[in-house]
Amino acid sequence: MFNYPIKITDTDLASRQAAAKLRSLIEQQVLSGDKVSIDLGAVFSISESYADELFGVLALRYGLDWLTDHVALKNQKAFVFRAIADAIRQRLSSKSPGTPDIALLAARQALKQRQSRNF
Amino acid sequence: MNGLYELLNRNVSASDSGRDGFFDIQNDYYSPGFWTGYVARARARNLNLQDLAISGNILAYAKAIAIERALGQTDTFRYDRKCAGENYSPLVMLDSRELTDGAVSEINQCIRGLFNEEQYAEFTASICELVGDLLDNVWAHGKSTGFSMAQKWRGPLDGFLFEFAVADCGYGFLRELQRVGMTVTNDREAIEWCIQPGNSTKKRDVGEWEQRLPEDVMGNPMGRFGRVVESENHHMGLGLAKLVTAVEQFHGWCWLASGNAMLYISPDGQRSYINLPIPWQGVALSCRFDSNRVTGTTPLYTGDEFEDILAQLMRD
Repeated sequence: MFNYPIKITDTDLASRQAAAKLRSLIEQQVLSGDKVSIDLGAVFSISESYADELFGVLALRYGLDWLTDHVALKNQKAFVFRAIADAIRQRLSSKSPGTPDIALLAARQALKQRQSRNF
Repeated sequence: MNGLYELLNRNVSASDSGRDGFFDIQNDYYSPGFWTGYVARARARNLNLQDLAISGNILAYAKAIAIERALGQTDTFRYDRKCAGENYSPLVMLDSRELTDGAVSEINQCIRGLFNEEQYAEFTASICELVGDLLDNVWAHGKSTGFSMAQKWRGPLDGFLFEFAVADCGYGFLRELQRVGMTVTNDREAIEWCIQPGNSTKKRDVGEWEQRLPEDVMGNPMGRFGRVVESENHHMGLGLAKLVTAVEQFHGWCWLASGNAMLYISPDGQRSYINLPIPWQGVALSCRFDSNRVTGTTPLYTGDEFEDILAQLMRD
């Protein structure tokens, strides 16, 4: 259950600094036991810098499992989600250069774990 | 239309300080690439509008695009800028996160409004992402000396042209690369390095002696000597490489100047380098797109297992 809602009202998310601030808030909330749901309905564009600093860094620091267990997205546009997915993929790939599609392997594993927990 | 290329390829006497031939302009049309470079250098030399000696229609236009505000003077333009965020985004000095984010939103609002049909969807999404990256990078690298602007104008046939531009008077690529210990020897090599995917000086170093400001500081009271830096060094360096790819994908024009080199990309995707008679201290970039050429590109979604799984995992 994602019990801590964050509604983003900006139409364009650009700066790393703003992303780092939000990332810090998310980390604090998760540390205090919450699960965060981010409403991206108002967002029309997200820069690679912003997506990387927020989602990419969380995935790198805590892993894809942790990220998807503690952070959910809602109402995002397809383009926005694609940028977020690209940022996470880039970060996970940069962790193990040369490994074939480490991001996809991590995603498959996270999905498997989620499914086994739900049984 | 005179742009960044025309600004830096003139036979005028240029010096290192004060007002020189660089600021002489004729009664003609000038694009955002021209204006951002023009104002960035004027501001770096503490020149005001009177020093620039602009006259006639050009002066009226310069005031409309907020040149006075950009130069740190009182804005005397008497009308509402009703078309800002529609046809153009005025000159904005990128010296705070708030102003940078505001400029990104305004330029992207122009792009979404002008290219609002389905056929432009891929172009709009791609370019809006890149504008965000670009302006954030100028804010991060430009030492609070960067300016942005965007403008639409009628094309030679049907349709229209749209250009956005940024210019700063920061270190420039060569000095920035040398600062982090790279053995790049000239401006052209520096540009070539910076447009390679994954290359960013921010990945290599955050200046140990950089004056730091708290994250929530409003504006920048320390001018070019201080800037806000993130607590950690997370830059991935994707902006310029993606921009170059997008310019080629959407058959646009790109001019990227740093030091005495300029990269030019033509609508047919040809890249060439030009030696500038007027070197640019810092980085200046302008991108121009023709509404007739940016349609009919790759499909929005081609199926991706990683994206599909991630969408399931992150669904609320």
